[in-house]
Amino acid sequence: MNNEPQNGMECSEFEALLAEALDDLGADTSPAFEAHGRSCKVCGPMWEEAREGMLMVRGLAELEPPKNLVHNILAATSRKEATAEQIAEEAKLGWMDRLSRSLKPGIGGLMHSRFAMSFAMAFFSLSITLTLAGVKVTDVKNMAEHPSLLQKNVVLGFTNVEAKVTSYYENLRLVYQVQAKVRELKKNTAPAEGSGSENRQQNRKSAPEDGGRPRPNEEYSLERDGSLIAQTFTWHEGARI
Amino acid sequence: MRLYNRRIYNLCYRFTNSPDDAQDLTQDVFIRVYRTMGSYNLEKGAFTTWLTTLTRNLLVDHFRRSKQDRVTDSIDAGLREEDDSLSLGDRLEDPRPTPDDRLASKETQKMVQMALARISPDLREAVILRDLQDMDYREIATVLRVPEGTVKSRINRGRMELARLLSRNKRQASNE
Repeated sequence: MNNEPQNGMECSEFEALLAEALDDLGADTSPAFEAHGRSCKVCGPMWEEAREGMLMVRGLAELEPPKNLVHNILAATSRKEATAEQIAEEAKLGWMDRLSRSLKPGIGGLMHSRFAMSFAMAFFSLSITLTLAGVKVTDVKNMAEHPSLLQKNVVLGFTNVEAKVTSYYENLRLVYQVQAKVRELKKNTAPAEGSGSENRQQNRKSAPEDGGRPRPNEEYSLERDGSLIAQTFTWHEGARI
Repeated sequence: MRLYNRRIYNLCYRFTNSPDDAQDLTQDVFIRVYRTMGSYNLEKGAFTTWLTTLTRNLLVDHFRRSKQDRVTDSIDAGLREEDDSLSLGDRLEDPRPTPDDRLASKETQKMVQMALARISPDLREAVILRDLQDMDYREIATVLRVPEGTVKSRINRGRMELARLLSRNKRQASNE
Protein backbone atom coordinates (compact mmCIF):
# COMPACT_ATOMS: atom_id res chain seq x y z
CA MET A 1 0.00 0.00 0.00
CA ASN A 2 1.30 3.40 -0.95
CA ASN A 3 1.76 5.79 1.94
CA GLU A 4 2.29 8.79 -0.23
CA PRO A 5 -0.74 10.99 -0.61
CA GLN A 6 -2.50 10.83 -3.94
CA ASN A 7 -5.03 13.51 -4.67
CA GLY A 8 -4.75 14.75 -1.11
CA MET A 9 -5.46 11.40 0.59
CA GLU A 10 -3.32 8.53 1.82
CA CYS A 11 -4.26 4.89 1.23
CA SER A 12 -4.74 4.31 4.97
CA GLU A 13 -7.22 7.16 5.08
CA PHE A 14 -8.99 5.74 2.06
CA GLU A 15 -9.24 2.33 3.70
CA ALA A 16 -10.59 3.84 6.92
CA LEU A 17 -13.35 5.56 4.97
CA LEU A 18 -14.01 2.62 2.69
CA ALA A 19 -16.44 0.74 4.91
CA GLU A 20 -18.62 3.74 5.63
CA ALA A 21 -18.51 4.84 2.01
CA LEU A 22 -19.69 1.44 0.91
CA ASP A 23 -22.43 1.40 3.50
CA ASP A 24 -23.91 4.50 1.98
CA LEU A 25 -23.20 4.11 -1.71
CA GLY A 26 -25.66 6.74 -2.86
CA ALA A 27 -24.28 9.42 -0.60
CA ASP A 28 -21.84 11.98 -1.84
CA THR A 29 -18.31 11.10 -0.87
CA SER A 30 -15.56 13.64 -0.63
CA PRO A 31 -13.84 14.60 -3.92
CA ALA A 32 -10.50 13.56 -2.45
CA PHE A 33 -11.82 10.08 -1.67
CA GLU A 34 -13.22 9.61 -5.18
CA ALA A 35 -10.11 11.00 -6.80
CA HIS A 36 -7.88 8.70 -4.76
CA GLY A 37 -10.02 5.70 -5.68
CA ARG A 38 -9.77 6.52 -9.35
CA SER A 39 -6.04 7.12 -9.41
CA CYS A 40 -4.61 4.63 -6.87
CA LYS A 41 -3.91 1.19 -8.33
CA VAL A 42 -4.21 -0.44 -4.92
CA CYS A 43 -7.22 1.31 -3.48
CA GLY A 44 -9.25 1.25 -6.69
CA PRO A 45 -9.44 -2.56 -6.89
CA MET A 46 -9.90 -2.68 -3.12
CA TRP A 47 -12.99 -0.53 -3.45
CA GLU A 48 -14.32 -2.73 -6.22
CA GLU A 49 -13.77 -6.00 -4.37
CA ALA A 50 -15.20 -4.74 -1.12
CA ARG A 51 -18.24 -3.41 -2.94
CA GLU A 52 -18.79 -6.65 -4.78
CA GLY A 53 -18.42 -8.71 -1.64
CA MET A 54 -20.81 -6.48 0.27
CA LEU A 55 -23.48 -6.68 -2.41
CA MET A 56 -23.21 -10.42 -2.61
CA VAL A 57 -23.59 -10.89 1.12
CA ARG A 58 -26.44 -8.44 1.30
CA GLY A 59 -28.11 -10.27 -1.56
CA LEU A 60 -28.41 -13.41 0.53
CA ALA A 61 -32.05 -14.10 1.25
CA GLU A 62 -33.21 -14.33 4.83
CA LEU A 63 -33.85 -17.92 5.73
CA GLU A 64 -37.04 -19.18 7.24
CA PRO A 65 -36.35 -21.10 10.45
CA PRO A 66 -37.73 -24.64 10.67
CA LYS A 67 -41.35 -24.74 11.73
CA ASN A 68 -40.64 -26.90 14.73
CA LEU A 69 -37.93 -24.59 16.06
CA VAL A 70 -40.22 -22.47 18.22
CA HIS A 71 -41.97 -25.59 19.48
CA ASN A 72 -38.65 -27.22 20.30
CA ILE A 73 -37.43 -24.15 22.15
CA LEU A 74 -40.64 -23.94 24.16
CA ALA A 75 -40.46 -27.65 24.92
CA ALA A 76 -36.81 -27.39 25.96
CA THR A 77 -37.36 -24.40 28.24
CA SER A 78 -40.50 -26.00 29.73
CA ARG A 79 -38.60 -29.22 30.33
CA LYS A 80 -35.87 -27.29 32.11
CA GLU A 81 -38.47 -25.72 34.36
CA ALA A 82 -40.24 -29.04 34.94
CA THR A 83 -36.96 -30.74 35.72
CA ALA A 84 -36.18 -28.17 38.39
CA GLU A 85 -39.61 -28.70 39.95
CA GLN A 86 -39.20 -32.48 39.81
CA ILE A 87 -35.86 -32.28 41.57
CA ALA A 88 -37.43 -30.20 44.34
CA GLU A 89 -40.32 -32.63 44.61
CA GLU A 90 -38.12 -35.72 44.65
CA ALA A 91 -36.00 -34.20 47.38
CA LYS A 92 -39.03 -34.38 49.64
CA LEU A 93 -39.72 -38.07 48.94
CA GLY A 94 -38.53 -40.91 51.14
CA TRP A 95 -36.34 -43.68 49.83
CA MET A 96 -39.28 -46.09 49.59
CA ASP A 97 -41.15 -43.71 47.31
CA ARG A 98 -38.12 -43.18 45.13
CA LEU A 99 -37.62 -46.94 44.92
CA SER A 100 -41.24 -47.54 43.96
CA ARG A 101 -41.02 -44.82 41.30
CA SER A 102 -37.90 -46.31 39.82
CA LEU A 103 -39.50 -49.77 39.75
CA LYS A 104 -42.70 -48.63 38.11
CA PRO A 105 -41.48 -48.78 34.50
CA GLY A 106 -40.01 -52.24 35.00
CA ILE A 107 -43.03 -53.83 36.64
CA GLY A 108 -45.61 -52.11 34.46
CA GLY A 109 -46.10 -55.25 32.34
CA LEU A 110 -46.70 -57.36 35.41
CA MET A 111 -49.76 -55.42 36.51
CA HIS A 112 -52.18 -57.62 34.54
CA SER A 113 -55.13 -59.31 36.22
CA ARG A 114 -53.55 -62.75 36.54
CA PHE A 115 -50.38 -61.32 38.03
CA ALA A 116 -52.42 -59.01 40.21
CA MET A 117 -54.36 -61.98 41.67
CA SER A 118 -51.14 -63.83 42.37
CA PHE A 119 -49.74 -60.75 44.08
CA ALA A 120 -52.92 -60.40 46.12
CA MET A 121 -52.70 -64.01 47.28
CA ALA A 122 -49.07 -63.61 48.16
CA PHE A 123 -49.87 -60.43 50.02
CA PHE A 124 -52.61 -62.06 52.09
CA SER A 125 -50.39 -65.04 52.87
CA LEU A 126 -47.62 -62.75 53.95
CA SER A 127 -49.89 -60.55 56.04
CA ILE A 128 -51.41 -63.59 57.79
CA THR A 129 -47.96 -65.01 58.46
CA LEU A 130 -46.78 -61.68 59.86
CA THR A 131 -49.90 -61.39 62.00
CA LEU A 132 -49.39 -64.88 63.42
CA ALA A 133 -45.75 -64.10 64.03
CA GLY A 134 -46.76 -61.01 65.98
CA VAL A 135 -45.32 -58.46 63.57
CA LYS A 136 -47.31 -55.25 63.42
CA VAL A 137 -47.66 -53.14 60.29
CA THR A 138 -46.86 -49.99 62.25
CA ASP A 139 -43.52 -51.53 63.21
CA VAL A 140 -42.71 -52.17 59.57
CA LYS A 141 -43.70 -48.60 58.67
CA ASN A 142 -41.49 -47.21 61.40
CA MET A 143 -38.68 -49.39 60.23
CA ALA A 144 -39.19 -48.21 56.65
CA GLU A 145 -39.07 -44.58 57.65
CA HIS A 146 -36.13 -45.06 59.98
CA PRO A 147 -33.84 -47.82 58.71
CA SER A 148 -31.57 -47.32 61.70
CA LEU A 149 -34.32 -48.73 63.96
CA LEU A 150 -34.29 -52.03 62.09
CA GLN A 151 -31.53 -53.57 64.18
CA LYS A 152 -33.06 -52.30 67.40
CA ASN A 153 -36.45 -53.77 66.54
CA VAL A 154 -34.96 -57.13 65.62
CA VAL A 155 -33.01 -57.31 68.90
CA LEU A 156 -36.05 -56.21 70.89
CA GLY A 157 -38.25 -58.82 69.21
CA PHE A 158 -35.74 -61.57 69.87
CA THR A 159 -35.46 -60.55 73.53
CA ASN A 160 -39.24 -60.61 73.93
CA VAL A 161 -39.54 -64.07 72.44
CA GLU A 162 -36.67 -65.32 74.57
CA ALA A 163 -38.30 -63.90 77.72
CA LYS A 164 -41.62 -65.62 76.88
CA VAL A 165 -39.96 -69.00 76.30
CA THR A 166 -37.95 -68.71 79.49
CA SER A 167 -41.01 -67.74 81.48
CA TYR A 168 -42.96 -70.70 80.01
CA TYR A 169 -40.34 -73.23 81.00
CA GLU A 170 -39.94 -71.67 84.43
CA ASN A 171 -43.68 -72.06 84.99
CA LEU A 172 -43.59 -75.62 83.74
CA ARG A 173 -40.81 -76.50 86.13
CA LEU A 174 -42.73 -75.00 89.01
CA VAL A 175 -45.73 -77.12 88.08
CA TYR A 176 -43.68 -80.30 88.09
CA GLN A 177 -42.10 -79.39 91.38
CA VAL A 178 -45.53 -78.79 92.95
CA GLN A 179 -46.79 -82.11 91.56
CA ALA A 180 -43.82 -83.95 92.94
CA LYS A 181 -44.36 -82.35 96.30
CA VAL A 182 -48.07 -83.26 96.32
CA ARG A 183 -47.29 -86.87 95.45
CA GLU A 184 -44.75 -87.04 98.20
CA LEU A 185 -47.22 -85.63 100.72
CA LYS A 186 -49.88 -88.12 99.64
CA LYS A 187 -47.55 -91.02 100.04
CA ASN A 188 -46.63 -89.85 103.49
CA THR A 189 -50.22 -89.28 104.61
CA ALA A 190 -51.83 -92.42 103.07
CA PRO A 191 -51.17 -94.93 105.96
CA ALA A 192 -52.56 -92.50 108.52
CA GLU A 193 -55.89 -92.36 106.70
CA GLY A 194 -56.55 -96.14 107.01
CA SER A 195 -54.61 -97.35 104.04
CA GLY A 196 -57.04 -95.50 101.79
CA SER A 197 -59.61 -98.37 101.78
CA GLU A 198 -62.58 -96.04 101.89
CA ASN A 199 -61.39 -94.11 98.91
CA ARG A 200 -60.82 -97.25 97.00
CA GLN A 201 -64.38 -98.43 97.72
CA GLN A 202 -65.78 -95.08 96.50
CA ASN A 203 -63.78 -95.31 93.38
CA ARG A 204 -65.02 -98.78 92.74
CA LYS A 205 -68.66 -97.71 93.20
CA SER A 206 -68.36 -94.73 90.91
CA ALA A 207 -67.01 -96.87 88.11
CA PRO A 208 -68.95 -100.13 87.97
CA GLU A 209 -68.52 -100.38 84.20
CA ASP A 210 -64.83 -101.16 84.52
CA GLY A 211 -65.59 -104.82 85.02
CA GLY A 212 -63.05 -105.26 87.78
CA ARG A 213 -60.14 -103.90 85.72
CA PRO A 214 -57.34 -102.26 87.61
CA ARG A 215 -57.96 -98.41 87.64
CA PRO A 216 -55.32 -95.76 88.07
CA ASN A 217 -55.27 -93.38 90.90
CA GLU A 218 -55.93 -89.82 89.62
CA GLU A 219 -54.15 -86.80 90.95
CA TYR A 220 -54.91 -83.19 90.09
CA SER A 221 -52.89 -80.12 90.59
CA LEU A 222 -53.45 -76.47 89.78
CA GLU A 223 -50.85 -74.00 88.87
CA ARG A 224 -50.58 -71.04 91.16
CA ASP A 225 -52.24 -68.53 88.80
CA GLY A 226 -54.82 -71.04 87.51
CA SER A 227 -54.18 -70.29 83.88
CA LEU A 228 -52.36 -73.47 83.21
CA ILE A 229 -53.90 -76.71 84.41
CA ALA A 230 -51.64 -79.66 84.44
CA GLN A 231 -53.37 -82.94 84.78
CA THR A 232 -51.34 -85.98 85.50
CA PHE A 233 -52.31 -89.54 85.81
CA THR A 234 -50.27 -91.82 87.97
CA TRP A 235 -50.63 -95.53 87.62
CA HIS A 236 -50.05 -97.70 90.57
CA GLU A 237 -49.32 -101.04 89.23
CA GLY A 238 -51.06 -103.86 91.17
CA ALA A 239 -53.23 -101.49 93.23
CA ARG A 240 -56.25 -103.64 92.73
CA ILE A 241 -59.20 -102.97 95.01
CA MET B 1 -38.89 -15.33 21.30
CA ARG B 2 -40.88 -15.44 18.07
CA LEU B 3 -39.53 -11.96 17.37
CA TYR B 4 -35.89 -12.98 17.54
CA ASN B 5 -35.74 -16.64 16.57
CA ARG B 6 -35.52 -15.87 12.84
CA ARG B 7 -32.70 -13.42 13.43
CA ILE B 8 -30.76 -15.82 15.66
CA TYR B 9 -31.33 -18.76 13.33
CA ASN B 10 -30.02 -16.80 10.35
CA LEU B 11 -27.00 -15.64 12.28
CA CYS B 12 -26.21 -19.20 13.35
CA TYR B 13 -26.80 -20.64 9.91
CA ARG B 14 -24.65 -18.08 8.13
CA PHE B 15 -21.86 -18.71 10.56
CA THR B 16 -22.01 -22.52 10.76
CA ASN B 17 -23.29 -23.26 7.24
CA SER B 18 -25.33 -26.13 8.69
CA PRO B 19 -29.12 -26.08 9.19
CA ASP B 20 -28.94 -28.69 11.95
CA ASP B 21 -26.21 -26.89 13.86
CA ALA B 22 -28.06 -23.62 13.41
CA GLN B 23 -31.23 -25.12 14.83
CA ASP B 24 -29.42 -26.64 17.81
CA LEU B 25 -27.53 -23.45 18.49
CA THR B 26 -30.67 -21.32 18.24
CA GLN B 27 -32.28 -23.61 20.76
CA ASP B 28 -29.24 -23.34 23.03
CA VAL B 29 -29.29 -19.56 22.71
CA PHE B 30 -32.86 -19.32 23.94
CA ILE B 31 -32.25 -21.77 26.74
CA ARG B 32 -29.30 -19.63 27.78
CA VAL B 33 -31.44 -16.51 27.50
CA TYR B 34 -34.08 -18.21 29.65
CA ARG B 35 -31.50 -18.98 32.32
CA THR B 36 -29.60 -15.70 32.30
CA MET B 37 -32.39 -13.26 31.63
CA GLY B 38 -31.91 -11.91 35.12
CA SER B 39 -28.38 -10.81 34.31
CA TYR B 40 -29.48 -8.53 31.47
CA ASN B 41 -29.05 -4.88 32.34
CA LEU B 42 -30.87 -2.39 30.14
CA GLU B 43 -28.41 0.35 31.02
CA LYS B 44 -25.48 -1.60 29.58
CA GLY B 45 -26.94 -1.80 26.10
CA ALA B 46 -29.79 -2.78 23.85
CA PHE B 47 -31.38 -6.18 24.19
CA THR B 48 -30.44 -7.02 20.59
CA THR B 49 -26.79 -6.36 21.33
CA TRP B 50 -26.94 -8.49 24.47
CA LEU B 51 -28.68 -11.29 22.59
CA THR B 52 -26.19 -11.12 19.72
CA THR B 53 -23.27 -11.18 22.15
CA LEU B 54 -24.72 -14.27 23.80
CA THR B 55 -25.22 -15.92 20.41
CA ARG B 56 -21.73 -15.04 19.31
CA ASN B 57 -20.26 -16.58 22.46
CA LEU B 58 -22.11 -19.80 21.78
CA LEU B 59 -20.99 -19.75 18.16
CA VAL B 60 -17.38 -19.34 19.24
CA ASP B 61 -17.76 -22.26 21.66
CA HIS B 62 -19.30 -24.35 18.93
CA PHE B 63 -16.58 -23.38 16.52
CA ARG B 64 -13.89 -24.46 18.96
CA ARG B 65 -15.68 -27.71 19.72
CA SER B 66 -16.37 -28.71 16.16
CA LYS B 67 -12.78 -28.18 15.00
CA GLN B 68 -13.94 -28.28 11.46
CA ASP B 69 -11.58 -27.64 8.64
CA ARG B 70 -11.26 -23.98 8.25
CA VAL B 71 -9.79 -23.43 4.87
CA THR B 72 -8.99 -19.79 4.81
CA ASP B 73 -7.53 -18.36 1.73
CA SER B 74 -4.96 -15.68 2.14
CA ILE B 75 -5.91 -12.26 1.05
CA ASP B 76 -2.56 -12.01 -0.69
CA ALA B 77 -3.07 -15.13 -2.75
CA GLY B 78 -2.83 -13.19 -5.95
CA LEU B 79 -6.35 -13.85 -7.06
CA ARG B 80 -7.04 -10.30 -7.95
CA GLU B 81 -8.35 -9.92 -11.41
CA GLU B 82 -6.32 -7.78 -13.74
CA ASP B 83 -9.15 -5.42 -14.38
CA ASP B 84 -7.63 -2.16 -13.39
CA SER B 85 -8.22 -0.48 -16.69
CA LEU B 86 -11.55 0.98 -15.61
CA SER B 87 -11.64 3.88 -13.19
CA LEU B 88 -13.81 3.86 -10.04
CA GLY B 89 -16.40 6.12 -11.62
CA ASP B 90 -16.60 3.92 -14.72
CA ARG B 91 -17.02 0.83 -12.56
CA LEU B 92 -19.86 2.35 -10.61
CA GLU B 93 -21.62 2.96 -13.91
CA ASP B 94 -20.76 -0.46 -15.30
CA PRO B 95 -23.66 -1.64 -17.45
CA ARG B 96 -22.81 -5.32 -16.89
CA PRO B 97 -25.08 -7.38 -14.63
CA THR B 98 -24.58 -6.37 -11.01
CA PRO B 99 -23.98 -8.85 -8.19
CA ASP B 100 -27.61 -8.35 -7.24
CA ASP B 101 -28.65 -9.75 -10.59
CA ARG B 102 -26.29 -12.67 -10.28
CA LEU B 103 -27.69 -13.54 -6.89
CA ALA B 104 -31.02 -14.19 -8.48
CA SER B 105 -30.22 -17.82 -8.93
CA LYS B 106 -30.25 -20.26 -6.07
CA GLU B 107 -26.93 -21.64 -7.13
CA THR B 108 -25.30 -18.28 -6.64
CA GLN B 109 -26.76 -18.03 -3.16
CA LYS B 110 -25.26 -21.36 -2.35
CA MET B 111 -21.88 -20.26 -3.69
CA VAL B 112 -21.93 -17.11 -1.59
CA GLN B 113 -22.81 -19.10 1.49
CA MET B 114 -19.99 -21.53 0.78
CA ALA B 115 -17.57 -18.66 0.32
CA LEU B 116 -18.77 -17.08 3.51
CA ALA B 117 -18.10 -20.32 5.35
CA ARG B 118 -14.55 -20.38 4.01
CA ILE B 119 -13.33 -17.01 5.16
CA SER B 120 -11.75 -16.70 8.55
CA PRO B 121 -14.17 -16.62 11.51
CA ASP B 122 -13.05 -13.17 12.64
CA LEU B 123 -13.83 -11.66 9.27
CA ARG B 124 -16.95 -13.76 8.81
CA GLU B 125 -18.63 -12.68 12.00
CA ALA B 126 -17.88 -9.01 11.32
CA VAL B 127 -19.33 -9.21 7.80
CA ILE B 128 -22.41 -11.15 8.95
CA LEU B 129 -23.15 -8.72 11.76
CA ARG B 130 -22.80 -5.72 9.47
CA ASP B 131 -24.28 -6.89 6.18
CA LEU B 132 -26.84 -9.47 7.33
CA GLN B 133 -27.73 -8.42 10.86
CA ASP B 134 -27.53 -4.72 9.96
CA MET B 135 -25.79 -3.73 13.18
CA ASP B 136 -23.85 -0.49 13.38
CA TYR B 137 -20.11 -0.39 14.02
CA ARG B 138 -20.41 0.51 17.65
CA GLU B 139 -22.72 -2.40 18.37
CA ILE B 140 -20.45 -4.78 16.48
CA ALA B 141 -17.48 -3.47 18.45
CA THR B 142 -19.40 -4.19 21.67
CA VAL B 143 -20.30 -7.71 20.58
CA LEU B 144 -16.84 -8.59 19.32
CA ARG B 145 -15.06 -6.67 22.10
CA VAL B 146 -12.71 -4.93 19.66
CA PRO B 147 -12.29 -1.26 18.70
CA GLU B 148 -14.44 0.21 15.98
CA GLY B 149 -11.41 0.69 13.71
CA THR B 150 -10.72 -3.03 13.90
CA VAL B 151 -14.34 -3.73 13.09
CA LYS B 152 -14.18 -1.62 9.94
CA SER B 153 -10.92 -3.20 8.91
CA ARG B 154 -12.32 -6.69 9.38
CA ILE B 155 -15.43 -5.86 7.44
CA ASN B 156 -13.40 -4.51 4.53
CA ARG B 157 -11.09 -7.49 4.47
CA GLY B 158 -13.96 -9.91 4.80
CA ARG B 159 -15.85 -8.38 1.91
CA MET B 160 -12.75 -8.35 -0.26
CA GLU B 161 -11.84 -11.91 0.54
CA LEU B 162 -15.36 -13.00 -0.19
CA ALA B 163 -15.29 -11.29 -3.57
CA ARG B 164 -12.00 -12.96 -4.44
CA LEU B 165 -13.23 -16.40 -3.46
CA LEU B 166 -16.34 -15.98 -5.53
CA SER B 167 -14.37 -14.68 -8.44
CA ARG B 168 -12.06 -17.66 -8.27
CA ASN B 169 -14.95 -20.09 -8.01
CA LYS B 170 -16.56 -18.44 -10.98
CA ARG B 171 -13.39 -18.78 -13.02
CA GLN B 172 -13.04 -22.43 -12.07
CA ALA B 173 -16.66 -23.06 -13.01
CA SER B 174 -16.19 -21.40 -16.40
CA ASN B 175 -13.01 -23.42 -17.09
CA GLU B 176 -14.86 -26.66 -16.38
